[in-house]
Amino acid sequence: MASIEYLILILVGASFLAYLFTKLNTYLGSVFTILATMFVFASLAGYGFGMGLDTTVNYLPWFTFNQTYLGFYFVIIIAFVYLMVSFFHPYYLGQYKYKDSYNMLFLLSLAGIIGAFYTDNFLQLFFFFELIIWTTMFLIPQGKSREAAVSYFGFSVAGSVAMLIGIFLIFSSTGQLDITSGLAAISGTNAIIVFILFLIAGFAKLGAFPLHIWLPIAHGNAPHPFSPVLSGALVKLGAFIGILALVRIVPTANLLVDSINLPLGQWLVAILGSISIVFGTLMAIKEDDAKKLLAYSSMSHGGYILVAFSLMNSVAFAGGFYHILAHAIASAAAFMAIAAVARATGTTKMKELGGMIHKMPITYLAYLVAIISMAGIPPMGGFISKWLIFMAVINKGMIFVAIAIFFGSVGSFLYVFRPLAALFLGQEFREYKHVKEAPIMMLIPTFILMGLNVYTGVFPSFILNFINNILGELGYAALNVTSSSIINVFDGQGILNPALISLVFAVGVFIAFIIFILLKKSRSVSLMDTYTAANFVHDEHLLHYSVDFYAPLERLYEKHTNWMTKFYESLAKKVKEIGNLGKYLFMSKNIGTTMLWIITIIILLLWGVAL
Amino acid sequence: MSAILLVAIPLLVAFLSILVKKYAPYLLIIVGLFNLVMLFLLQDGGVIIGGFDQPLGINLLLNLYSRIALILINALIVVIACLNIKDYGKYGSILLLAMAGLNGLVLTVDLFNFFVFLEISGIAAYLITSSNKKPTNTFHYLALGAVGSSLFLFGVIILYAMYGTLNYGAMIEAIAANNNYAEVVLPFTLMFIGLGVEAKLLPFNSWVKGALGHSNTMSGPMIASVYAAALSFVLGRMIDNLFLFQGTLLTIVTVLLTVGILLGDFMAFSSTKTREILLFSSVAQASIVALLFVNGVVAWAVWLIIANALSKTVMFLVINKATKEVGCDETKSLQGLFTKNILVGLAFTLATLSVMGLPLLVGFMIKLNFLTALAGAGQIWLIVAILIASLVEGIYFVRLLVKLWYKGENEISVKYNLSFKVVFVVIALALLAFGSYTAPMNQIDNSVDAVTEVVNNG
Amino acid sequence: MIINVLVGIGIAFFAFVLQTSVAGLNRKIVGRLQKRIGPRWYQEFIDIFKLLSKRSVSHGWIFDFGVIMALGGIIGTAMFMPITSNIVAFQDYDNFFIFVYLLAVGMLGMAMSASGSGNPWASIGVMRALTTMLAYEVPFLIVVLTIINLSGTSSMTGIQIFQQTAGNNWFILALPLGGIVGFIALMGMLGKKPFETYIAPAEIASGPMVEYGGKQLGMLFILHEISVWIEVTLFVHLFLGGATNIFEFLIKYFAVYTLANLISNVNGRFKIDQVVTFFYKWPLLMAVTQAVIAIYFGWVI
Repeated sequence: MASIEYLILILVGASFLAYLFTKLNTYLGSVFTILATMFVFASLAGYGFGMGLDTTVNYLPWFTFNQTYLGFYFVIIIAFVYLMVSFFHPYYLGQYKYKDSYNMLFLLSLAGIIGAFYTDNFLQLFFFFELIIWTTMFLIPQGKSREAAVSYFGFSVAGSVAMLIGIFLIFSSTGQLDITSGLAAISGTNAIIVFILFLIAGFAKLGAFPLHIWLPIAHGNAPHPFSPVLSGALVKLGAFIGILALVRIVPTANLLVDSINLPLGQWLVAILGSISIVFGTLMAIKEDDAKKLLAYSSMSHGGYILVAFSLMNSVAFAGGFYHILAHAIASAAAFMAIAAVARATGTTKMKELGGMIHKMPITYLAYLVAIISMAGIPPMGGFISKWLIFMAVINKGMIFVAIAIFFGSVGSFLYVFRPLAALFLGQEFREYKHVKEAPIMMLIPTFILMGLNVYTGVFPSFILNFINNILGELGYAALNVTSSSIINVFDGQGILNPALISLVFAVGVFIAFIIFILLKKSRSVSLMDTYTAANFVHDEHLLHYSVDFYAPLERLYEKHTNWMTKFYESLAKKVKEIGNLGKYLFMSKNIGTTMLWIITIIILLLWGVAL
Repeated sequence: MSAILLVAIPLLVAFLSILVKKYAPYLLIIVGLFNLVMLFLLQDGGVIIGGFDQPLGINLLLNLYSRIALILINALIVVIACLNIKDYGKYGSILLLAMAGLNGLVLTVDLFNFFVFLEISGIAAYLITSSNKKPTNTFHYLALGAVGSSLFLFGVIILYAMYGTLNYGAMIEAIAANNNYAEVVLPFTLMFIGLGVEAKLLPFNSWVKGALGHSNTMSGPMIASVYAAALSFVLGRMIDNLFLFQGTLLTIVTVLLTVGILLGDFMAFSSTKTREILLFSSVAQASIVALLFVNGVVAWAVWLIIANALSKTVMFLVINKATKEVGCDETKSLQGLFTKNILVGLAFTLATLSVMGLPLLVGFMIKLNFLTALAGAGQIWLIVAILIASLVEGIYFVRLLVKLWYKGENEISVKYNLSFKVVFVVIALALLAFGSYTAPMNQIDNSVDAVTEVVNNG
Repeated sequence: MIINVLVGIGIAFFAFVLQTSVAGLNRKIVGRLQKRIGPRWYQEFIDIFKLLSKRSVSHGWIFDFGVIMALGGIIGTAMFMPITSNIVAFQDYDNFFIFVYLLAVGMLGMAMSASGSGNPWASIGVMRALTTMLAYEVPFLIVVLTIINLSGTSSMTGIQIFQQTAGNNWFILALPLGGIVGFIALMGMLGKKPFETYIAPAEIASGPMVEYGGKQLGMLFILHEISVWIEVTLFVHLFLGGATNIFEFLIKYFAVYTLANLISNVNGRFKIDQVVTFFYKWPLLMAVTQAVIAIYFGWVI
């Protein structure tokens, strides 16, 4: 029997061993990390699905654990992303300054993740959250920018501070520190405040508007193998907190518009989620760095998750849960593909890249499959989750939210296509002639993720049945799914047969292939042999259209994109100014100033007492 | 064998050591170790000197609270002395004086004695800061210290005039019997301000910037850790037993301390000098400790004092040593300090994480526990203030850490002696160990320093 | 199941034949409008078969793979589309969103292939096509939201039957504003003027198509005809009450396509940013107004 406590202890032990091994040899330590992660994932997968993990605690006296379907769903996804990413470690760690601590902190943060989703106590939840934050925070500056770590840490801690205040509010008003009973017991004004505070925490971790500033900075500058973890795994912590608030607390039953039939709080969250979607999409469209582009796409997908969980019905929840999985897989795969390219070329800037498909076709396919899922196109997982969310929004008749989710959905075609066109397709640059496909170890996770992207899009019934368990746990009706994966929502308002779609798509491609193969074979020509209106172009860079790809569209909004950043900059400036004011008032070199304060306080006191 | 030896011997040796200046640091270490041994041997209880029964005689009290404080103070002084034996050997006598003064300060339960020890330790402190070679700053400290102790004395005189006693126990009883809080507001205010000057509470602490902003490997940890801890302990004892704030005084003190927490961290946020960041963060921490005492969360305040003293010792030692060798304490010029000193960097990082209150380190458990206690008392707004301050604190510390770990334009090389490294590692491991294994910390409770009962019974 | 798939393939083939003929007829109509005789009605077939028989060039495997994926996606989409309310390959599974998103697979394949050719004009064309898509999809989907919300089904057959039920009007009458938006969006989807920006032969040398010739171009022509059929049929089913028999369908289909084509021929071309600002101004406003009126107030004719 695998025990949660043992898993955590093993990971903590393994993290120190990983430190020592990596000190000896980077490769050895990384392989050890892979094995440790694999062991943990296998234990979780082997026992966790049936809630068969041992929750008793012998060596960690302060802690208590409890298994829930909800927690397991998150933990298995995140552990999976960790496992996939760990395969990249041997090829990247060598270039990092503190590579020995990289593996250690990586495993330590996984220990934190397992604890966070299995604990049943608020304070322990906070403990694990903070553990995850600081261990991962030290991984980020090993990448491109040091300020990125500060930004990540600041927003994350702002989130956990909000959560802690919420926790103490629950504690002081109900005396409960148990997660389930605490959230159930809170009521009245306190419930509203806790709802808001928890959502601040969720938004901050999820990188949703208006707490999104850190997301592109951290994702874009983190070490290449860590960006997939950030986007695929860690932001999902925010979704978890958001779910706690949105599903477990319903602070007010006020309806804004009767026909929408949604409590005001949930409705506002849906609107904020919509802003996240639109903002993330617009920013992603104009971003030149491939990793930052994917980061903004994570923000937009975070918005979908928020919208889904604010709709208060099981179809939307199922869509939200499925989206968490689909996005984790797709985003991890996309970031890993970019990481593989960055390893080979040393850059993630799209304007410096071109034609990588000819050198790295498998990486290209992995990226292609990932973005098809991200854009919500069949036959990949992202289509199913987006379809569920669409159906729920349409059923509620939420027009303004619908504008955002449709905009985000179509907009995602635009931005995911950019790296495809600029980085993989187009002219082949001469400076990357020497580049080779990623080594076989890195292709293993690539293939697994590719397979899963397709699997989640074709046969969702296994996962949806598991999600039905979660829905039951949350007190919602199960989604209607047959064993052959036919999904029926709202009594026939929408029926989807993903396997059939894939089959028909395959038939279509087969027909097209037959047509293609029967016709005369084409003559192969070089990429430079193209129509140039009879001009002779000698340099392939000149024939590669990739800088400011959507320039005419960007021009329409690019002036209005940085006011949130400015807001946070001025906030930091204000804090600094207050600090300087404090120094001026209280820390002056003039002793008289201090005397003045002392006398003022005495007078104030005596005055107060005399009154 | 009695507790008086803890004060008398350092004082005696301090004067003797002037004759044999060369051996002063060694004498200091011997006396410090002797004190530590004594602290483990001595029984709890009061000591009366001068032949008069209480409440008239000089009265020392050794209980669990003062024992913890004394162990911390003496041990830290010994450690700091050992590390600075070469550079600041001639300050041995002064450190002995400081030891005597601080020990007395913690032990005494008599207000006038308290004032005497405050003066002794104060003089030692001024002399310690004179090692910074910034006479104006020392003078600033001296002047404010004098103001503080005068105010304290003034308060004591008023109390004496009112109740005719200077003994804690007797006075507490007298105040309780009189049951008119309004009439003690003025003396309590004056005493609080007087102690506040020394305990670095905003806005009485403008000396801190000068005294610590230019500190060295001796004066930095002495003032920021040892003195801060000792004064926090005695301030705590006063607040916990004597002051018993109420009404307007409670409001004003709470507001002052809350503002102190927030502003302390904001000021650190706006600083670019490493030492300033550390000292402003100590200001905020001192206010948190005082706030905990005001709210009766004594046990966790004690642990917070200890954890802070240990962490700040490491931090000031690391930074002051580096500043001395680099010649500048701007964060920018210290970039990449830890690239060559991994071990020192790890210890510094762990100490910082503990101050920030992040999990696996002792600071986290302390923070969580005192916040839980505050929540239990319904003080949500204080929690909000403390957490907002801790958010700002987290940001500037992370900014600092990241800068120190990654090199900037210039490569700097700082060498730390083995003795420094041993101290850093031991303290870091202690912070880590108690952060993971917290059972011993639950052994003391909020009545750890109930002076009245002990005085009356013993 | 095999029978269903075969029916589906039949529908796709029907789509190709129908639209290619209608397109040929339209060339003649437009010719007459411009005082020309115009080509024969089967001229389009001749063009396509000529292209398919010619030997062409290829710019690498993605250039070919993209074309196959694009045509495959479009054929797959067409297989799902009901011709009338009773001629449908996969009963119950003709969900509206399949047509939006499976169509996108085809578009993605084509975009990929075009970018893979290495010609900047192709990339610019793709950029314009995607931008146009971002413009017309949102107002269109809002109208469809209203339709699905009102009819309580997202099946294309179901929406037709809802309109054919006594007491319900065609949605173009029930939701007049929505109908207008739907038609404007259809113009955008078809790439008719004034939304022809992404082809713009004189401007960016036919955009995505610039590098193609021979069988690849022929396949893209087939793709184009089938996708036009899907888009026009969507409009017929969503707004014009669908069809109960094949003749009704043919009439409605011909009318809609010809109208779009005629309007196209008296218009100039928008710049790409004008396309975006245009769609996000009036059509979106109208779509939202229509949705608010219909869903929140329940005023449906």
